Amino acid sequence: MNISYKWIQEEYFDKPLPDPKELVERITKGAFEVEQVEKRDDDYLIDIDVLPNRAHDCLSHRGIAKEIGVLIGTPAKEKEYKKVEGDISLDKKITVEVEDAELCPRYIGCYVQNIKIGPSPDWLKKRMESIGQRSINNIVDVTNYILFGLGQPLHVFDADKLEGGKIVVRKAKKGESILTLDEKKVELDETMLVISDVNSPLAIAGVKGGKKAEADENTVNIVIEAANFNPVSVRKTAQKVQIKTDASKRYENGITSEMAGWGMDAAIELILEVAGTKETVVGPKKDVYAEKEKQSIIKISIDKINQTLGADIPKNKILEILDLFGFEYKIDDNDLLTITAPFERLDMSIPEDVVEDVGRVFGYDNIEEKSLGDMDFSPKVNKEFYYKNKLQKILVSYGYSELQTYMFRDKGEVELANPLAKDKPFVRANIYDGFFSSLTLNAHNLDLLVLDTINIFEIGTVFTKEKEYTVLGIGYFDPKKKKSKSKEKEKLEEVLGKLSEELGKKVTGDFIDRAEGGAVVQVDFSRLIEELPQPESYGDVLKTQTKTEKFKTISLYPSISRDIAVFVNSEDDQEKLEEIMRTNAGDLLVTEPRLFDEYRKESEDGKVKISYAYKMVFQSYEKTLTDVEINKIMEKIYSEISKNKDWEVR
Amino acid sequence: MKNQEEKGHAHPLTYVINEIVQPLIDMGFEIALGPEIESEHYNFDVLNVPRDHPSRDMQDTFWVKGLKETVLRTQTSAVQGRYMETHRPPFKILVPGKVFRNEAVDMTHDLQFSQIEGLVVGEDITLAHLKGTLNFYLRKLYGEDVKTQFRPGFFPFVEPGIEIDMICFRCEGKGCPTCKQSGWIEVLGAGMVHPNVLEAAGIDSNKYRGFALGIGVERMAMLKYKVGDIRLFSNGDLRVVNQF
Repeated sequence: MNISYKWIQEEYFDKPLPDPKELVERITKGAFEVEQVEKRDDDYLIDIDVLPNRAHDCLSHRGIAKEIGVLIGTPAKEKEYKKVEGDISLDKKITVEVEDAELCPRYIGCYVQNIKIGPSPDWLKKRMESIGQRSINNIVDVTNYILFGLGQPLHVFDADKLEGGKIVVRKAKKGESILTLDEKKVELDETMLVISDVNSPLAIAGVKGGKKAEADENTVNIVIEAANFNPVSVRKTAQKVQIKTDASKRYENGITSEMAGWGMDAAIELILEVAGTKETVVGPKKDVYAEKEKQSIIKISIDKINQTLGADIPKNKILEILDLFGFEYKIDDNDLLTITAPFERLDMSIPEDVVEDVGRVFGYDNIEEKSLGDMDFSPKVNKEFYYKNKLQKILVSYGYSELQTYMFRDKGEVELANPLAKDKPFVRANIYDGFFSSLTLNAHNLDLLVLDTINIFEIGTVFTKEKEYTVLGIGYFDPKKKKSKSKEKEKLEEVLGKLSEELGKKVTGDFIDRAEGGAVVQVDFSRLIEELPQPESYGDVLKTQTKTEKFKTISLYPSISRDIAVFVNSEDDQEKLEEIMRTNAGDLLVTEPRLFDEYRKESEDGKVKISYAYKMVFQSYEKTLTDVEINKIMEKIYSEISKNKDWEVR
Repeated sequence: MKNQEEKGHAHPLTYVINEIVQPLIDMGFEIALGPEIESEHYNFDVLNVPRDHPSRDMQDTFWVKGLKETVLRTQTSAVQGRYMETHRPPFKILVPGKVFRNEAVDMTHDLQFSQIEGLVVGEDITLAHLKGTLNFYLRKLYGEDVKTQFRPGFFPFVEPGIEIDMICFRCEGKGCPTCKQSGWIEVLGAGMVHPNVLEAAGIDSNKYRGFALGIGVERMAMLKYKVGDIRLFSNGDLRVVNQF
């Protein structure tokens, strides 16, 4: 909801508001999150993320002003609009008929004769511009001013285009359609509510106006609509016709029917002011309001407020907060409050709603924290959680790393009705399909990972037509070896053997391998744990600790690996050799130089030499490295090495 | 070889989940789990999220094809109803698990992520206890001088509803794009259990009160280890996992 700081200041408060920064902080702490503040000339546009339960009353400057009033301790003042009776001579101009009071609890139509449509006065133009709306003409601007000011959507029809002098609020007929104001043809059906004349629809109720009775520059006689429509009906219709408007947004959240009355009074007064002529006459308001809305009444004691918050807010402070909200209330000798909620506060229905209003204004930060006391409750050890963590610990200690991968796949047995990615409409039926992708991905980064083989596992859910269950997937891949030589199955069987030994129960699974290399075993974890004993305590299975404090961002650029083998004179030289590599490689070296081969050689003169072979991996965060750059670094390393007597680069 | 590693690595989310649940288990919490494919009944209805109400829009939901009123759960709160149907208060539970949201993916939003739901119901549970419990584990996780702010929030199954922010890890409160210039990052939602939720499970809301809290595990991990992109946790990349 876009709010103009100046609008709030000028129309709702005599004394200066806190500066925008301070105000935003108070709103954030006490009411709503503020998405953004934008300075605009001598004003500030504040984008407030109104909470869903307050969309009844706070999608408006009035609603926000009232909240601000509570938070700064000065109630917002309210402009009173005149209640115009209307000229009885125009009584026959229109009639209003509501066929379904449940879908339209209130409809007010008012005929106004001889107005002049034209540009808006400056003050109104400025209001529109202050919230990023374009000024259109005096009539449209007035309806928008009331929409964003009070929160009441309005509509204006050209009275002379309306057939039969009658407004009928009814369900659309089968096969009916409407041409909307933006000239789109919309097909209607019997579930949708429309505003119609005696022949055809003029508007989709609460959603969008139609072309048929559009007020344009030639319009002189109008019908103003101020109404309330059923939230669910508006929501369903708006979804069906795929039109969302500022009006539909407010109706679908639910607004008070009382506001239609306030909105109509404001509309009449403002239209007379900005579009009135000497000949303008206002007709009587045709108000179809079958059942007057009731205010909700909430009973809650001062004690209950404090008991729920766990605070000790003095009674007078609580009453002061209720006064700031403008709640009508009575309090009896036992400090039981009977509070009548304002009409627009449709969110208020239970005592806890009052607790919230008191709590947030008093300030959650001002409530002192308490620790939970003893409870008559004996927690059980969750078997699944216990064994998940136990297996995770065993596998990590056995050299396998844990993944948690996406459920969304291109194949599966359970399909989503509304997938986000069209190529992945299923949830996984097994863990291995995804695991093969992970094996391939990680095999590409073997050097960067400082690994010879990829060893991974995941304990996660899979979904078949029959059931949802948990599996353990273990993957193994030795990309440097030919498939026939990599003994994948043996390696995975070894892991299962290790698990069987630790659990004291034979663990079996399904082996799946693929031609390009890599194999996965999938164990039915849900079934496995059924046969394992119920643990008495978590012991140390949850005690996992990492020394890592900060994650190092992954570079998006490819890495370059270089091998270097050097003859040195003794084991004592190894450290020095590593130091030379490290210091001369600079920042581009992403992993420690990694020793992958070492051997001793005795020459004919009896002299012993040792060869160390290292892999060095280079990568930049800013660019793709070239061979030329790396050659330069390597040259430097070679030259440093050659400075040592009897050292030799192979 | 001498510098080849022999041990594997647990996933960073495992560390974070265990770091959160271990101290709370020590405080007498019980772990409860539930299914990831869930009925609308448990995911929404019993959590006081009315049908055809805009608040169902808050969480973009994945529906399962061919199964009536069946969704990928959008919140671990879905386990609340399941647990309360079979257990009488007092109790304190934690529900770790994966949840799914059908929303645009970016650096801080992903299709699947992990939550830990906490639920405590007893005779004289207060919002002060909620604060105490939250601060207790935030201190465990981030150290004694962790800075938080509590502000109003809305979740249909609590009243009052609260959102908790922590000082932004990137700018340390000065304001930056990550925290939308506010200096704060929302880390969890909480509140006092709505009486309708207790009543739906057959628990007398005049006698019992409770609090619930929902922790976004990835958010916590991002803050703790300064990970800039939530998607790094689920892409199966050992360059991430093996750092931990």
